[in-house]
Amino acid sequence: MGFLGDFELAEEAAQDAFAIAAERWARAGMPANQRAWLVATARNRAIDRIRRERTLTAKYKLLEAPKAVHDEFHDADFRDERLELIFTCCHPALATDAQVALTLRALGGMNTDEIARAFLVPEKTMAQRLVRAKRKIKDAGIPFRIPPAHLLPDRLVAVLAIVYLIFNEGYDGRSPLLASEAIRVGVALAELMPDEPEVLGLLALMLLHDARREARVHDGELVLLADQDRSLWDRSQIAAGRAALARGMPCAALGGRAHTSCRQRSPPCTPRSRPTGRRSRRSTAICRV
Amino acid sequence: MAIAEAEGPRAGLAVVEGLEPELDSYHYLHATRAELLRRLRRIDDARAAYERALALARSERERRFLLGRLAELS
Repeated sequence: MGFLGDFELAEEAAQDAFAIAAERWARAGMPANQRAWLVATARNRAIDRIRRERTLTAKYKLLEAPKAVHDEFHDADFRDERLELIFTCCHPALATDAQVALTLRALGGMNTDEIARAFLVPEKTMAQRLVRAKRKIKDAGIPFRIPPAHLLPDRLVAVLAIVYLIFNEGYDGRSPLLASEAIRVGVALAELMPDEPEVLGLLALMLLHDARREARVHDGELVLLADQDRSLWDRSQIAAGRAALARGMPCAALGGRAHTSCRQRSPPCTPRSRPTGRRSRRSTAICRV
Repeated sequence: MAIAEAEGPRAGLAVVEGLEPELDSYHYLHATRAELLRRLRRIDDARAAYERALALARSERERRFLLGRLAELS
């Protein structure tokens, strides 16, 4: 996508690459570095498509790119572009519903039908929303990049808001899949921005909330935290949430939004001291069960 | 809620009310406010907050829960 600057073309090329892999790997065996093989193949397929579909002059620059698939691949040759991808998906020029849909499609690993069902809209509507969003990225020239330092804090807040929005959609039990998808994106973000306290704070928040999912409902009725059967809490997920929190704490100079909310939310499964540290005025002290 | 547990409902309420302009359309904010007002025995205010949360709640389960709380108040 970074190479092509075109979401739709990148997706089509990736599909081509998987189709070729399915056929060729079965016949000739798996290459040593499958990821690099797929990326290189997708890239070549994209170039083929561009060659076929557009005039050479319009896309001359793209044709200067490497033309042949190398026999040996090294992962380092193909940078992980997921961070650029999420910042593009959550660009403020896109409508919120488009940001949500794109993020789920590109990073959450959900297909269009699943996203449509999660948001209770017909698949066709969601497909159109995605097509329009991708077109907008192309037409508006939304750059495929991690925002420059002076824009990064605001843009990161916007990304985290989208992830949290997705989580919330799943939280009340209507689409539990969305909560897991949001966590998955959160884990990826924490991997890609390991020193960002807000990212770790949000991840911890989601893990800790989600750990109580099973205990939150009994016989179809909501059960508040104080009345929950704690044996139903997911201990390993609570541990993961606490670990994310502990990792984020030293980075959190002032304690941002997700962080503070999360510190308040760590389940009292061990004797708990009061949250310490400066509390952000904007922290969301929300009533959750 | 954590602050309310640690320092009492009045302290929790102060935080929640500080967030109100920003999160007015967020049903959990009103549910929290309602719960804290109920603990402070400000029954009429609690009822109004539960009703606001009810109007904004999106799942049936949450609506049933809030209706139950409203019924307890009257």
